[in-house]
Amino acid sequence: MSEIENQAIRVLLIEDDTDDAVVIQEIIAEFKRPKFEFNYRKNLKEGLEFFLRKEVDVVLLDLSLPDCRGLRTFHKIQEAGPEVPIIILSGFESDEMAIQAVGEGAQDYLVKSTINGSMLFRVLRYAIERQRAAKRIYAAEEKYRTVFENSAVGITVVDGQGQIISWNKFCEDLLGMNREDLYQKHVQTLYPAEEWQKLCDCKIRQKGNQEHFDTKMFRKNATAVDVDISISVLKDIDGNITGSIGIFRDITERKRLERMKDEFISTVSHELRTPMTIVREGVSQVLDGILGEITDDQRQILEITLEGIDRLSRIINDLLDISKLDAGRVELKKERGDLKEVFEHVGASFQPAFENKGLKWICDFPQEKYEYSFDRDKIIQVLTNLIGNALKFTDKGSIAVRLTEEPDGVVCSVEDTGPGIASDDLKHVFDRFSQFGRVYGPGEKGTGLGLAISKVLVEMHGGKIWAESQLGQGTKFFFSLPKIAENG
Amino acid sequence: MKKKILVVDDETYISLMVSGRLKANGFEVVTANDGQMGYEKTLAEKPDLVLLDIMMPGVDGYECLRMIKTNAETAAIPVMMLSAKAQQADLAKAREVGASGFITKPFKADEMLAQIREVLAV
Ligand SMILES: Nc1ncnc2c1ncn2[C@@H]1O[C@H](COP(=O)(O)OP(=O)(O)O)[C@@H](O)[C@H]1O
Ligand SMILES: [Mg+2]
Repeated sequence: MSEIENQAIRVLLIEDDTDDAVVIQEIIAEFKRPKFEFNYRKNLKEGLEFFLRKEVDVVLLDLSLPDCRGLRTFHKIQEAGPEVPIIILSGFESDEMAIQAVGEGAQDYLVKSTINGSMLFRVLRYAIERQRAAKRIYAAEEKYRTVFENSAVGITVVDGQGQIISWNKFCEDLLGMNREDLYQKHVQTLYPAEEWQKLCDCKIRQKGNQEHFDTKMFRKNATAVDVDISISVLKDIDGNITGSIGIFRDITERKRLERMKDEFISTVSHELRTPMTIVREGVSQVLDGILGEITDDQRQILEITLEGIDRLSRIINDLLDISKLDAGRVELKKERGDLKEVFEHVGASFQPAFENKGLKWICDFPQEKYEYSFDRDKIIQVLTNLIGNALKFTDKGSIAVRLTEEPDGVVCSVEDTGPGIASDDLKHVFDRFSQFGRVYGPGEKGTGLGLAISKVLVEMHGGKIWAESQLGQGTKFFFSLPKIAENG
Repeated sequence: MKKKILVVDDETYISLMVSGRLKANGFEVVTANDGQMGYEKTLAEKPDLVLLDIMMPGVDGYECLRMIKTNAETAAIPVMMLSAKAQQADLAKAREVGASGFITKPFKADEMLAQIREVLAV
């Protein structure tokens, strides 16, 4: 308020009733700190002239003047100087109109017959202060608006019903769209149907935080462009969702490179398989004695050689998988099915191995059936990897699988009594090529890609995957699958 | 009587390895090193089974399979793919054109033999 303290506040009163004007003038003359400079005009025409010619800090305005009546009076002044605060003076009977004026931007209103010194003083000071605060907010907003408009990313703001209410220039450029294509259109219209479904499956609004995806958006000409988008939910003070903001970038070039990499890896892995077949079969023919007797020492070396070759081929398979997933060349073939049946099927294939190691196999499926929508082969791949890991790392005890239904889906778990994973390592188990506590001696050596692949596969289903473990306490892996959507 | 298997592969060493394994297990083996020759030998030799590679120059495995399956004289002969291609899509395509099985390279001899015996019912 210090600025106001030093210089006089210039008040313009526009009022046709001289008696009222005198009363106000006298009240204002009493004010000492800050001082007020009082100006007075009798009708709108003269009021406006003064207003436009001189600098005015605040206007006291009667709405019924000889040359203009009602809200129009207010609008005229407001148009002439939108940054100057206006206080409406009203009689009892015109109360309602004054309130309407406040709704349209007047700072306040005073009922003339009730005006007294302290009230007028307070209303004038606050009107000016509020106007200044509004200016500061405007300046701050302007700063954000500049960031918004000049960002090299597309931004869309959507209301609680999913309608687009604002967007930036880059969004228009990226999508090749203009106001007609965007304003108040439902955001759904920006996405191909299956991409929209994927976004819905993630239930961003229910979770109420920020999510990041690779997806596709439509351009004006109905072609789709690859984007990565992060979506943040907007909430009011009470925590109710009022809309969301999407920030997206064109990733066509990245996708192109991923496809090139994928083609390259595909080619290389096919090329590698032929010589590997020759080496593997050559070694195993010698090992099988087809070409004559061999000594125990020779046998031992050849067995190790075969293991190495098999490991190499697992690496190639996993690399091929992950590269296809990166390039978005894997499509889920989701169908309704019973998860329990899938667990039992995978479990059965591991039975001989469990018996071999003397491990107990525990199934905990409290329900008769677990009907979900999933790609059977992909879920088998995930489970095979989780159970395979448990088997690989556990020497005694048990491996337990569980299905637990929760309100928004099912949680599947694989639990072992193995060595556990140190907490520093646990953070990285889903990273590519991460392997900790390698198994020594004979047995299947891993690639460190299994969990990375499983993660992508589970996320493609709209689920999550995570692990809990402590050294010496065994390990639990979990993954969730969402409920079948109501609309099928 | 010995069952006769035709091995079609453009890689001579693969043919050599596969033939060696099959002979050691009591099969009679003939070989061809591309798709066109594979089809012609199927017609001429009337093998009990064809083991067919996919990626070959000229007439590839799929095309050769189609030729075998569309000729009434050879259509009944079972064909198993033996390929470095191992993607779901490849398997599906082979089945569609009429393959009786799919063995991926590198193969494990036991598994390959088990599949062959199943198809031949021996
Ligand atoms: N059940 C488990 N118990 C202990 N460690 C595990 C378990 N599962 C995974 N890990 C650790 O996570 C690493 C990565 O697993 P994964 O991605 O499946 O690769 P791989 O099995 O090929 O090594 C493993 O090498 C191991 O160190
Ligand atoms: Mg693994």
